[in-house]
Amino acid sequence: MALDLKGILAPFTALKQLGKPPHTVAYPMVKKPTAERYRGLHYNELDDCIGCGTCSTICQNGAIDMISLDGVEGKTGDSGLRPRVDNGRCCWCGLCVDVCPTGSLSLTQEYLYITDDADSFLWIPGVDNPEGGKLKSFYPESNAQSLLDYNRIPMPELEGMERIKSYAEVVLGYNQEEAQAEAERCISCGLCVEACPEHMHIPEYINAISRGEPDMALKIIYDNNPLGELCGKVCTRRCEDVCSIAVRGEPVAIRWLKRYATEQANNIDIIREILDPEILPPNGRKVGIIGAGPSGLTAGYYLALKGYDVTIYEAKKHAGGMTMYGIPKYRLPMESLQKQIGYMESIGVKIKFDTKIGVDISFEELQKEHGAIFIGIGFEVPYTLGIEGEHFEGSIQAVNFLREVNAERPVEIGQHVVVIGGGNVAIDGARIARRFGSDVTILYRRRVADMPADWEEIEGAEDEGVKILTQAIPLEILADKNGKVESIKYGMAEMVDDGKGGRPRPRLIENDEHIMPVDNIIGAIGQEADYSFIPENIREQLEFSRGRMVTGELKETKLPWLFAGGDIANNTADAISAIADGYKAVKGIEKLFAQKGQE
Amino acid sequence: MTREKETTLYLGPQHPGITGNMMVKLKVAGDEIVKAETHVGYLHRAFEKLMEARTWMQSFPIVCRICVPEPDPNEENFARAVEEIEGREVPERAQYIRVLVLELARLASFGLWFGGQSGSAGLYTMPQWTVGDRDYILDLFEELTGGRVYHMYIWPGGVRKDLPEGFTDRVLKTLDYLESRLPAIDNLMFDNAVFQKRAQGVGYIDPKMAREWGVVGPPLRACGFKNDVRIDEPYEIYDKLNFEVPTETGGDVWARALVRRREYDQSISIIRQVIEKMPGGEYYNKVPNPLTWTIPRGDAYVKTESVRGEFGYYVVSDGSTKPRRVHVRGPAYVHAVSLLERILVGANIADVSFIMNSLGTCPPEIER
Amino acid sequence: MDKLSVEEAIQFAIEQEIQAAELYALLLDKSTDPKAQEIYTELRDMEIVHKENLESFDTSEFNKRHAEQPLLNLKLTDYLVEKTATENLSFQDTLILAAQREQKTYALYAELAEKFKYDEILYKLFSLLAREELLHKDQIETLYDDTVLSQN
Repeated sequence: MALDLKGILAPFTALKQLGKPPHTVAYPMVKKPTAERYRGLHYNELDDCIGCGTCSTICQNGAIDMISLDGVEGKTGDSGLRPRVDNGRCCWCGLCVDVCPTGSLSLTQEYLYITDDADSFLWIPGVDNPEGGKLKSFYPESNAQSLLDYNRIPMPELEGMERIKSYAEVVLGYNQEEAQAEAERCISCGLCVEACPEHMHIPEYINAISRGEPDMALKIIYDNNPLGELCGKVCTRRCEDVCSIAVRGEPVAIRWLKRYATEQANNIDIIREILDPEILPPNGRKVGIIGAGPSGLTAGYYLALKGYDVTIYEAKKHAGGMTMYGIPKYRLPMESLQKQIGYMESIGVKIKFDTKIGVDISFEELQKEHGAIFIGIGFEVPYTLGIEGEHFEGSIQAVNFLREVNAERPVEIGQHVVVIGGGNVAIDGARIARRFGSDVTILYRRRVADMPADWEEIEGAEDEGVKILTQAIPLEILADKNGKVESIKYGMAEMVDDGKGGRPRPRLIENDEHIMPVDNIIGAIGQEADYSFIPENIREQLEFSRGRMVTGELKETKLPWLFAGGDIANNTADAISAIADGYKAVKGIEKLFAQKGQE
Repeated sequence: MTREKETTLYLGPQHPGITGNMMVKLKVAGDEIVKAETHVGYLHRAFEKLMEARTWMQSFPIVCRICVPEPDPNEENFARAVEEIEGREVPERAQYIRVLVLELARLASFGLWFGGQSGSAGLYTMPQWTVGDRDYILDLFEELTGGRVYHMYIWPGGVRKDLPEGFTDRVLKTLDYLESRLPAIDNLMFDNAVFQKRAQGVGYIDPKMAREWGVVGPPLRACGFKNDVRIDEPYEIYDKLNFEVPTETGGDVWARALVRRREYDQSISIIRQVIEKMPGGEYYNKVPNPLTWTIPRGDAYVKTESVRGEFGYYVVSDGSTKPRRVHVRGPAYVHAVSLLERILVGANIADVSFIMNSLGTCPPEIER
Repeated sequence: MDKLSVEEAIQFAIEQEIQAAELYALLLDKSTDPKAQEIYTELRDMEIVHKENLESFDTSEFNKRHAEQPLLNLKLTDYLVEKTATENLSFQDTLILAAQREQKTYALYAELAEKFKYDEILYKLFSLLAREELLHKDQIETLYDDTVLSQN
């Protein structure tokens, strides 16, 4: 065997390496900077965090829990909790960062933490490393890099100019595919549940929709809201305002998803079949409800399910209250409302129409007849503008205008219309006036951003050609010699800070007045209740505040048998708050009868 | 001739020469092995089971942990299996980036293998060099993915982030450096008469046996078979690349070393091609909300050519948000359990680690 | 009323408050609207508090009391139709009436302050009273802005 000389000598060339300087880093004297994307210890911008807990949900190591911190208070849209990371469990995969809807969570360049105290491995990012904000390295640079979907599935709608030709429903609704895709965006953080006056089970029904089970979603919705379809169409959706996805994107279309789920059951029989409600046998307890608006209907529905003998007294021809007579049919079609109320009647809710308390039946009689009474009459009397010339012919009120239109009675309206106000009533009035072919301008004292109306309603009005003139204060209505409205004088306003952190208030600017020729002026600045049907001796025993009845947690008044809910007993005056009131009153009324039974 | 007294030896699970936490129970007569038994169970972390309790996206950071030296085939396999069941398209750029990552991972893994193979033969200079050089690849990974060892970068739908500015230039520079180191490595290892003597004829696998026992990767190619998943069933964009499958016929440790040495060159060449052809466009086809993302009912078996051979994932979905079953089939399962027990018989005690290294033993693949 | 002592001036102001309180008490009695009743009660009680404050008024505290509180002055009374105190005013009209009364009292004190400009103490006193009335008007206007004009 030949001697492999090369094979023996070649390895010795490695000796050359001895002369070379080392390429290792002289750690710990020298530290190598980490890369820009380095996934090190967590950091959390505490002020941006809303405590949604999605980081904790996604963490596949169970390394993140949500804890309350001193100095961080929970509020609507913020659970008040903040993530704490167990660095003994964390694997620095960064999924928590990728699903953080606010972008407050990041990973930093820091990777070293040495201690003999194992308990201190539990870190509250941002609290235990306040300097981490300067060391962020792994964070979503854009929404596209997030694992969340920040863009809403667009809702199909009638085109703006097409809409004003009729009262056809503007919103066309999601199909199954669209609904499922939209529902899948939800991260089930539940911040919406807290924001919803009725605390509906939002993540649960959205999850049911995303699984393709609208029937299950309907059941979940009816658990505490018998007017889900109504809410699905016209809710003021405070849930969407606090949606954690909305911090950096468009909120999940909670309202439209509810609409989708409820619309799948398109007649009373199907609703009954899906819900298969358990109706308890009659318990002989009689409850009288004044007003068939959302609060009264809700109270009536759940009481009837529990075996109560419920009669709702409604002054008008149809049930629904302001949702029937105040909300235009292009938002809430008659059939939809009829279907929902018809279902309630089918399970035993009795509604006496055209029955006005104090006229057709006295309050005392009602009191005698029923063990408990619930008042849910709503705000029907409009506030006046309080300016000169309001009595002239052609100056009308939006609530009256909408009521007449919804009752399909003949209404006349001129070519040039000014609507005064920025709430949903004003927008509804303006959009209805557009359907009469009028040129409509909205005068509003504040800015568009201050409008209490739903932003989608405002956009809808603009799409339909409604002009909005902001920071304009109506000063006087001028008439021609026949006493017919001819023009409106308005002044411009400056916004002043109220010094208390509230919304800025408009102050009239002197000598900046304008005149606009106009045929009709529609006032829509707000409404109040009319309590004149309540006998004085009872009224005196009740407490009122700022035009509203003062009620307790379960909507009880000073009188044990009397409950009140809806616009007259809450500060938000919308359908969902009314439903919440009705639902609370059910508990109050049950408690009342339970106490009575013990006596 | 009197038979020497048989002794039982336990190699591992904490033996410095062994590859990871496993143990080989040896029955030896003198220094010759009479019988070998593989014992595992020291490393079981129940990855497969863990995934059944986690959503699809939550499972993604788990899979890389199945292999330290080369985690990326796990990520790529899992992602591709999910994509295959769901029918999700992956952008072309993402596929190129995936191949870039996979091949860089091969290089990094070879760096460890050079060290392990030589080190287990007593050639301790080599680990100092190649493990050090491997760190330059880890630097690239850190820059690209944010992590040095566990990258968590290839995920369903594409890759997690786009290539940083100027990244490919730095890759090319690193490749040039690694290539410049090869003559020294050859001098020290492959031209080394001692190494050759140690490696030749040791750990021999018969070609017939290789086929029957399901041997894969370099050990199979060292028996003369031209099998490589990247060529046989090309995935990602391997069909658009030009490369040869190196084979040897020796079937021993030496043949396997030569195959790996040539695959090192091959990977460098593949990365250069990938960088040259790298298209623009999207790097990620966004998946739905990871909390509610469901994968339709179905299953998929996907495989990649890892540095140790064919690496497969069998993923089953029952249509829910979580995997019904994820089964990992790593080459070490065959190589280090049944095959190792067989070819250690007759070998010298000193060669156990040496042979194990040549088979690419990786215990976490056995205990998923 | 060409010459006036400080005591007399304060007495005059007290009488103004008493008159106002009496008016609101009368209206409260006559009103049947619970919403208006609530406002009357508040206004009456407020005037009584003002009266009591004036009774214990210490002229040496002038400077202290002059701490500036910013005025919003929404100028609602400038253009809202004037209301007269009649039975059964609505909630809305009650607020307008009250704001307009405060505005008028403010004008009266402002006029008196101008008249007694030569007497430093009287000038200061009437200016202070005038400002107080403006503050009250501010409060009522703010309430009006929050309730009646909530949607405008």
